[in-house]
Amino acid sequence: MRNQNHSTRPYPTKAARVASVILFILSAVLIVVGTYGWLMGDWNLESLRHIAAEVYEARRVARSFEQPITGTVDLFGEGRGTVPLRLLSGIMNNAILLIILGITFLVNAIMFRIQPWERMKDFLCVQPALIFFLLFVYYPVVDLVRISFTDMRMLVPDPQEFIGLKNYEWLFFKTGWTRFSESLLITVRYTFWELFITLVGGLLLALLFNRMTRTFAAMRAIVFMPRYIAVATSAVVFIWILHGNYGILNYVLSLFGIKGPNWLVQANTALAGILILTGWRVIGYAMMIYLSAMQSIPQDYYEAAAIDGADAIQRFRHITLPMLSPTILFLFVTTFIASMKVFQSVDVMTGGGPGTATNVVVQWIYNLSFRDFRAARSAAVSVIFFLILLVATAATMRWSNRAVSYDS
Amino acid sequence: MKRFLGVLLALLMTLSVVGLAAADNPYDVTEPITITWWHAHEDQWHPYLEYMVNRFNEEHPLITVEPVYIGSYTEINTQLIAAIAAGDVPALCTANTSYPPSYGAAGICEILDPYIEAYNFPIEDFGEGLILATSYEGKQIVLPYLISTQVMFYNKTAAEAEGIEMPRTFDEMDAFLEKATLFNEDGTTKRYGTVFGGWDYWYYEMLFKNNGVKVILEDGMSTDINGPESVYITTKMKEWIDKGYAYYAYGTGASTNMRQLFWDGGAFSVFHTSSLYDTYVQNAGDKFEVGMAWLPGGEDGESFYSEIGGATILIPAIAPQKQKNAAWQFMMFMASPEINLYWADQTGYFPTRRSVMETPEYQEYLERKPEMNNVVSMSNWIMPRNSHPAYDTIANEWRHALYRIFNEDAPIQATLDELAMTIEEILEDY
Repeated sequence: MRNQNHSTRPYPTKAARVASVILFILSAVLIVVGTYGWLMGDWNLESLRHIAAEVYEARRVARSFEQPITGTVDLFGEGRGTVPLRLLSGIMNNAILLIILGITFLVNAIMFRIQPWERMKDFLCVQPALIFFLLFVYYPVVDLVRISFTDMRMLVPDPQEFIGLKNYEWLFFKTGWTRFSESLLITVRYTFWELFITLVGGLLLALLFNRMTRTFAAMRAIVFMPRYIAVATSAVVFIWILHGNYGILNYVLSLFGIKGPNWLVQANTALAGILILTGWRVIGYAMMIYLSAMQSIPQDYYEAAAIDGADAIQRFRHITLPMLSPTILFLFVTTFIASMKVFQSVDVMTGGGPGTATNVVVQWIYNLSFRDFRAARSAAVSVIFFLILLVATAATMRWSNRAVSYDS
Repeated sequence: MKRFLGVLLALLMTLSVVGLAAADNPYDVTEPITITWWHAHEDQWHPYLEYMVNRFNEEHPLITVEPVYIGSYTEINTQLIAAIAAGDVPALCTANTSYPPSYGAAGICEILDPYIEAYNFPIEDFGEGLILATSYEGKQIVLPYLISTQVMFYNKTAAEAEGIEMPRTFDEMDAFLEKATLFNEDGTTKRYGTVFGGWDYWYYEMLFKNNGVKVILEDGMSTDINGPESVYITTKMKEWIDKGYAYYAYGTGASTNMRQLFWDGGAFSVFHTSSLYDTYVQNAGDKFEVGMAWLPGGEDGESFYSEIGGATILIPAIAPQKQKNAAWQFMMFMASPEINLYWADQTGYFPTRRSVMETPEYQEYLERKPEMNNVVSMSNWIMPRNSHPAYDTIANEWRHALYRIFNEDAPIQATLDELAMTIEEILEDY
């Protein structure tokens, strides 16, 4: 009955048309005002600089004396647009929020014209999450690109100057390239070994612990436990475990007559030292993912193969491995992305050293920002690194469509 | 009666002048306020820090200082930058002496000159070198309160027993290392002659600078890091490391490893900071007596410079004025002669106030710590750190290059040439 009413109602309804017009007007105002604030603040537009300067000064005074921003500013000269500085400061501070709200209203204005109310309700429900994503996930990425075209330095307050492609020129054609290629190579080496530990080590452990007994359940829990410990905490512990003179690892090695290296101090073993921590942390997680996938492989396949005379290796190769391929892909992609972005363990254990032996890309990005205060260069490296990860992930996914079996 | 009235009138006039002066002072604290002080002083100094803060809070009923340990100097720098970006800063912050030039260039610190003037704070009591080291473009931006410099700690007991004399100049290093180094029968080093602190350029840079290397030349655009003097010093250091005479401490825990090596008798001497004098003495315990010597000077025998180290205290410029006023009171307290000497005595840093050095308490302090005399007597040679805002970045690149030369056998001249290119490119940006 309700559906029949709905189908006979003229569409869009009058209420929807009114709402659409109101939202359209609101969106236009928000987008224009927000863009104005954005151009004045983040983009440091030359024609608006004198107004921005008044806002910065008013903010400084207000902050200094812990009072609200006071005074007005004449936007267009000759008293044609006198606006309170407090309002203008608020617009500059919230420019992005205003633009995003404006875009949201615009989308809603259009949707009201083309969608029935029942569908609009669903769309309205997901909008808070969409706004959250736009503001806290996608906008920072966009802003990172903007910063990479400026001369922003962490220590120098606003405003920033636009310098075009200079940061990218430094990165690709000047000294930035030496450090970038070096860091990228170290990161790839690290990633390769973490992938190896996760995919191969995790699989071997999963095969070992693929028993549903209480003892094995307890052992699985023990292996998985390091995942729950904060990286920084375990990194501090591993600094001591790997200490050249007093570390327990070298002590154990010495029991077998092996003289262990000074793990984190020697350039040729520092990355291996970090990978020991990584392995300890990730192998249990990979094992659990593999185990859950193994449990879902129907026993019929194994029984049929056994009847056909397949041995354990053949069963593993022709049943387990193909059936695990989606899991392997999942672990590959998630581990690849996470390991390319490795930072915490490196920062705590070696700080990128000794020398630049463990200076992975994210550590370098961090140092550029917080040690050298070159935020813009740091942003340029981040943008390129982001693109590399994007292309690598997309290529993996494309390749996986051919290689992975989703047959259950 | 007339006389009494006259005295009363004079008294009232004096009081009113003082009162007016006080009321006119825009930096006075007039209402209760709590301020936060971010510092980098580790656990072992917390009792002394607590004593000072409690004493200040008692003496200044309107102000409550809350000290917060943030972490190392590097961490506190990172946190401060993040706090400034967020617009929410502490009223006071400790900073290593390497940071004020960058902070000054960026306008991060409150200019202290008006406060100094308003309170007639005797800034000249710090001496010219310290004032220079804590100013930016002639403006006072931080106050020095814990000052140290580079020195060599050595095993005095072994030196006396084996007749080893500490090197006065760089060209005496060869003979010194030859005598101070002991080898095992298999040719490995039993006791290093010295250890260079390779985790921070501050510990070795004076070996270069006293021999004429400037790192950044006067034009502010070029470097002499690949020049003959720099190549010569680098070659000598590499030679000593390769021969097993010297150990280059770097990587995770390098500072701890170096100290332990010294206390265990694995090193005759180490290049380190004078602020750790007490730590070295306490940990050497009864095993041996610790000596503290000035760094070897230049080969010309005329340059014996060292650089200022330690901590300064600053007020972030964007802090609210009321917080700044309270912070300034605490700064004056921390830099007062009595507290200055107390800090020095408890920590191993130098007193920074000249007037302190004339007090009987200071003489008594020197009698208790006679090795401090070796440093204090040379304090005229302590100079400010390089104030170029890019110096820290450049020096870190230098550190990486030296690491490659000393540990990966990278060719000296080629590596320093490459470093020079990097440095000049960095300088182009400033």
